[in-house]
Amino acid sequence: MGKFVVRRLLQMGLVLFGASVILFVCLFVVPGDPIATSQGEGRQLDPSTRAALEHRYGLDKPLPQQYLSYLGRLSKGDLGESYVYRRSVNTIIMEKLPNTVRLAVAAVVIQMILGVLAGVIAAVFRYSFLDVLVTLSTTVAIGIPTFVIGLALQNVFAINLGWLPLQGQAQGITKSIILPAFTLAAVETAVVSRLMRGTMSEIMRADFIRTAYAKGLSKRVVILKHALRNSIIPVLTYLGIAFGGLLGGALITETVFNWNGIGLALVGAIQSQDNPIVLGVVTYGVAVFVLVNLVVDICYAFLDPRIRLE
Amino acid sequence: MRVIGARARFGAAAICLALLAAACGGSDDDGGSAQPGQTSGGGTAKQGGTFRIPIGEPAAIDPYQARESEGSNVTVRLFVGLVTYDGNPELKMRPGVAERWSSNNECTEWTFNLRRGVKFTNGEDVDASSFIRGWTRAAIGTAASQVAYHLQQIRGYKELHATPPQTQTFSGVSAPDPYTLRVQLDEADCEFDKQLVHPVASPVPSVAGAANNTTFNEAPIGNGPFMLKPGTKWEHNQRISLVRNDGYFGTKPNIDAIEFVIFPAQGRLEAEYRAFTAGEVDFARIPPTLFKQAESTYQPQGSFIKSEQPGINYLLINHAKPPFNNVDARKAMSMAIDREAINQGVYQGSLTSATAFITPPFGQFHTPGICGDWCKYDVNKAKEHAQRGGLTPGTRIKLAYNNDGGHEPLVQAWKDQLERNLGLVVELDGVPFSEHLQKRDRGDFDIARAAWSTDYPSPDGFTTPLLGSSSEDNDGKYANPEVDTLLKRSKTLKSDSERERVIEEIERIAIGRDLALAPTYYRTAYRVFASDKWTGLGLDFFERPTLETVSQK
Repeated sequence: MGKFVVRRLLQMGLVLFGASVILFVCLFVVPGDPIATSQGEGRQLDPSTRAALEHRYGLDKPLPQQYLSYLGRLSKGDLGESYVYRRSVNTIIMEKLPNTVRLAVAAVVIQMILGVLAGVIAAVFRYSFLDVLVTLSTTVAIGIPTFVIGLALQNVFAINLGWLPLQGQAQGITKSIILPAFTLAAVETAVVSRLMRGTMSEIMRADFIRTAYAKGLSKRVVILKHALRNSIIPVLTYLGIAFGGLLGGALITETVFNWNGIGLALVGAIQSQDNPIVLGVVTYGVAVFVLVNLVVDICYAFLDPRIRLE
Repeated sequence: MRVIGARARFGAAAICLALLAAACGGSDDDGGSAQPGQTSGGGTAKQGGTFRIPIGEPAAIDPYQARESEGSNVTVRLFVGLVTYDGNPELKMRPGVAERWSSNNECTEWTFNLRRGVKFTNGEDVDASSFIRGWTRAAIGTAASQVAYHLQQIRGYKELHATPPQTQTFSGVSAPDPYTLRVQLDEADCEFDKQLVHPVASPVPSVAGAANNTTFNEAPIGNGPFMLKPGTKWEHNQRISLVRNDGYFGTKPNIDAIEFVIFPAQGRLEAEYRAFTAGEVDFARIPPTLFKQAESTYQPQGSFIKSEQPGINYLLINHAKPPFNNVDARKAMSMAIDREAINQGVYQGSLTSATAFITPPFGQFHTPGICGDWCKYDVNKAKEHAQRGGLTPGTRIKLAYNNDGGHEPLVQAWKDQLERNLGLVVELDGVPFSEHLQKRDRGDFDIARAAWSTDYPSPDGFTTPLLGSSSEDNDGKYANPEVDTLLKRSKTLKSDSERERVIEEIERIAIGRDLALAPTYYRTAYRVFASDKWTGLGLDFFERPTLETVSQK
């Protein structure tokens, strides 16, 4: 187990290194003039100011050298300074991260509860009205783009009914998080419930379930203790990976709801060519995704003793 | 001076000058003045209240880098410089920290006599050294300030602003005694004082340190009508809370506090407007698509602010590209576009078609109709001029614009009209703003969408940059020695009435005769505010809400 974790962490270093190369090259291949663009509206930079900025951000050095010094800083956990705000990217990410984490946790909780519940009901009452309802609604949910779901929820609950805030966090986190969390959770909830329904209905036909019934166990115990536990592993894998992705920032949902997380920061940084923020947020996203995957793999072992981590 | 571009969208903003307050729909009972020393209506305004105003996350609120509307909106509440401007049509500066000022006869040396007893909110005196400190830390090359160029006329700027800096001191600025500031210019400018309204010319206390002292940017200490709420800092991406500075030397504001609510940049225009409709903020800009709806809803309630501001939108024509070196070809272009139809069709009538180059907010310096027939839509005359100017049907021309500012409907309309009316083949060339500026700089265009505004109340902020042959902002490369001579002369005139005549002469030659560029619209800006709770709100010359005069109802 210890060996496994160490090996995976080393792999993670390799993945991060690879990602940083690709990202760095991509950002410099993108056409445009980051220094000028990041400095926003107004007249063109005078040569002296441009020179001062290029020196400050090391852009006056050759590309390989820029990459090496970036890598050097990265290894110390320093993501550099934003071109636009002239502040540490670490600080900017840390300011916004709590919002992204809140949203990701809320979304995963919704996915877990609603998705698993719907999937179990559909599997237990196969071909019933409820099953058809679940199948239909999940098809619809998977088909609709996230931003449409977001706008629809905004229209109904914020504009027409006026129950919840439209956007932002000015009215308190608890109230404000509901709509974005459901928006963000919508598609994955549907996927989870389908996954759950699929594995669960297969397991319900397995021999050991018949044995359990034969032993005289109640339907409740069979479903909850035998069927659910055995069919939840693929769902947890899926949720874990999805959670890792969400922690990297939910670009569309955060944009629709003006949710002040790192996804929104990334969208803004891409537009203003604030490369240090783009690099920082994406590198962080890759790291957290790999880490969460590792945690998911470790969790397997606890859920299913047959799995050995080697 | 500044180019208006990427995010400063047409019709998305509003201004309400004091002189135009009566014309500002529904808010004609207010003073709308930016002068820190005035109370609205001259009476006893109700005291108290917190005004909530949406902004985007500023790049900086430290005066050295208060470069965009977001940051400077906060900075000007915290700092007051030597002079202020209240929107008067004579374009006269009013006293700030300086109570008197004058220049020598050549307008190359300026002397400012400072008020005594003005203090920063940390108790430190505001004296000449506070200004020298503030200007030096902004102008020095290592600061990489993008607004330092407002100080570039001052002697020693070049050496100080160089990268790496050749000196650490600003040689043209000195203090003969603690309350006298002497400024030497490289060249004569009888309107130099006007440039000092920009926040970059603010005084700073000694704790400010160098420009790269980010602590100061987190909680600047100023001498303005407001200060950061004690114990708070700039809460990034959340809010900036200001309270009234009771030690302020000018007339104190009526409100107790300002809450700048920071909105994410993405879709901010829509978001702040929605937040306004939900009562979460007291003031908002209006998304262009919702303009009509906002007008019909808020105009009757007196919550709608409409105001002309100094900016101008124009069709930039490249004189270096034949046949546009010919005045007839330029006139043909200008007359072939139907400004009013585009205003109605694209901008829901929210703009004002231009008939002059110097815009209405310049008061006495604005001469309506000076563009003459060249700014009027007339297809037949346009065709005649095109023929005379060698602009034959089938000519291919490149129309450059920035594609990140929502200008597509405008350039598409221009293209259609030029193709239909003159038989040209127009190729659209849209790139992001910074690239667009570079293209214009290189002369890689035939015509372009352009906009311009100025950061100080002088028509010279329009004429010298856009019409002077040696200006780097004159992207059309218009060059007329006669105009150059007049431009130079206008800077050396102490008398406003003489300068007014010269400016008019310049405009008459460069626009009325040469049509150096084709003015299209005056920048008009719109805002909504919570008139059920507030009164006395307008927008000043700099398109900022007059938070010094607003009061509770």
